[in-house]
Amino acid sequence: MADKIEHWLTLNMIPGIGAMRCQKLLEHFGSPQAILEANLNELQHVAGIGEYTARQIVSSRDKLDIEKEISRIKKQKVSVVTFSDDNYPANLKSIFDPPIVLYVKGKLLPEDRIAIAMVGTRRPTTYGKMVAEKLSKELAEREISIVSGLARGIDTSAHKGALSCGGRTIAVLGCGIDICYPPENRALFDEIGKRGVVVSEFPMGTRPEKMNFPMRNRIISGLSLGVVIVEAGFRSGALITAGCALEQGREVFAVPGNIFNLGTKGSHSLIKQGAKLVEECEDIIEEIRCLRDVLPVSPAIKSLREVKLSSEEERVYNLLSFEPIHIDLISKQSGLAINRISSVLMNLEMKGRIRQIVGKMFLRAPEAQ
Amino acid sequence: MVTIVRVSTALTYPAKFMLAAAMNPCPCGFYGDSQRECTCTPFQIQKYRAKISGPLLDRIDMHIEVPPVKYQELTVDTDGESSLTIRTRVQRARDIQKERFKKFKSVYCNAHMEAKYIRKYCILEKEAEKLLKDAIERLGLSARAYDRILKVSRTIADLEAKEEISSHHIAEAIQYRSLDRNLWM
Repeated sequence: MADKIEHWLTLNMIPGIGAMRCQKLLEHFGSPQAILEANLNELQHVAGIGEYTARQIVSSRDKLDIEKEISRIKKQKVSVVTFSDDNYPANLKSIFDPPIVLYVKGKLLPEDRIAIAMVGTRRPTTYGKMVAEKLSKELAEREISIVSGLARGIDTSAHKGALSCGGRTIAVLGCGIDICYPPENRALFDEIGKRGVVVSEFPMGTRPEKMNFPMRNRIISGLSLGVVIVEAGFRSGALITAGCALEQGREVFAVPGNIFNLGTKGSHSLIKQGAKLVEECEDIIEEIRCLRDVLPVSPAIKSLREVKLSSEEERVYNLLSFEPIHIDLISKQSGLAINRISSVLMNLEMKGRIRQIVGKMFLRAPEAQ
Repeated sequence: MVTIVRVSTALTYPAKFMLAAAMNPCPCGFYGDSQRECTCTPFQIQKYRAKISGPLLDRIDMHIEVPPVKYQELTVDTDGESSLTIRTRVQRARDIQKERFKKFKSVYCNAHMEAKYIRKYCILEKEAEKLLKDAIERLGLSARAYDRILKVSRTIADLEAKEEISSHHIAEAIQYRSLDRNLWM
């Protein structure tokens, strides 16, 4: 079968023909090999392929260095899943313009059909990050795969949330699978490669160009049954994903935020247009029929709620909310000296009830609620 | 002490000092600020922070994050402790330490303790021991940070004139290690 994969890869690498045109060509010729062997005349008579594109196919198909691509794939321990393979994701197959080739790190499982995408801004608030982490963790605990784009911000939190409870997560890249973008997510990238899946439709070495990301977004929503938008500004890429989801007949969910924060304008406008407002993971599960029977609440969360607090801890915990507040203010409001409050906060943190964030700010941990 | 060896001689200089240093949270200075938005990328912040290596950071006992002070707070006088009362408390703690180390040459205070003295003088209550163990595991603190926490908690206990270190001393000491904790990412 090795030569067949080569044909798929070559077809995928020809510049100027995207997923749509590939599908048209495949419909007409039946196999990638036939497309690559067709002459100019045959090519330009396919509906949707003009003379210009046909010429481009003919001129570039022999120039591509497919040997090099294959050796890079082997070196990086990447596997290739083509549109005709049995393990090609079922959800993705049903969209209008599925990628013909997926470069895969890790293993795609049939269970990944039960998947929810979670996307949002690259510059989230603490609230946004916490919501993404909490929701994705709760969904992953119910054996739902979390799909996101490995971008900064909400995407990162969504992946981390799923990994934190040993759940599955799928990262879809907007660049070649041998490139980690953004670079600071290297460790996360490797972790997902081991415990989940990283996928990309782009040939090895493709730079993270701006135009790649909208294309990637259609795969994110395509792999999933629904898309959750956590924080999105007015012109956020997350809204493009929401748009793709609608086109593909997926559910769209949005988490509300602070109305004074411009970074939530986009998600709020989605809610106005009819996206379902999400406060907890039940809101998502309820909407998607095939998810209803998946696991109830895990025991780990329950035990967290039953941890005993001392009266002092109880008092300090009650002062905190989901808005971060500074340690000085907590000290003032509780009437406890700063050294005393430090140790109470530390104990609360160790008991998993609160969290500390940068700037000596504290807030309640969402999972203990 | 620092020993410098050159071709002709080897010189030993005394090097006992107290270091107090300040840094910004990120290149633009607003990361974690509640009023203004930081314009740095996570990568920039990571690079900026990496200028201080882990081993160096480990050797700094206390990290304290100081938020910007609002104008209003600058002008309102609050009833904080006076320096005089603090001074007497500190003096008492110093006396305890001087007494503790009087047998040893060149050890005058908790900060000078070597590993063997730490084992001897930093005796933890059962509960404190458990807290420290949990914290190291959960917060991913280094072995070097462990020694630092013990020394600082020894001093905190001395300020209360307590012989044994209890869990709230340990808890306070751990709060002073915020830079170890990846809260910044």
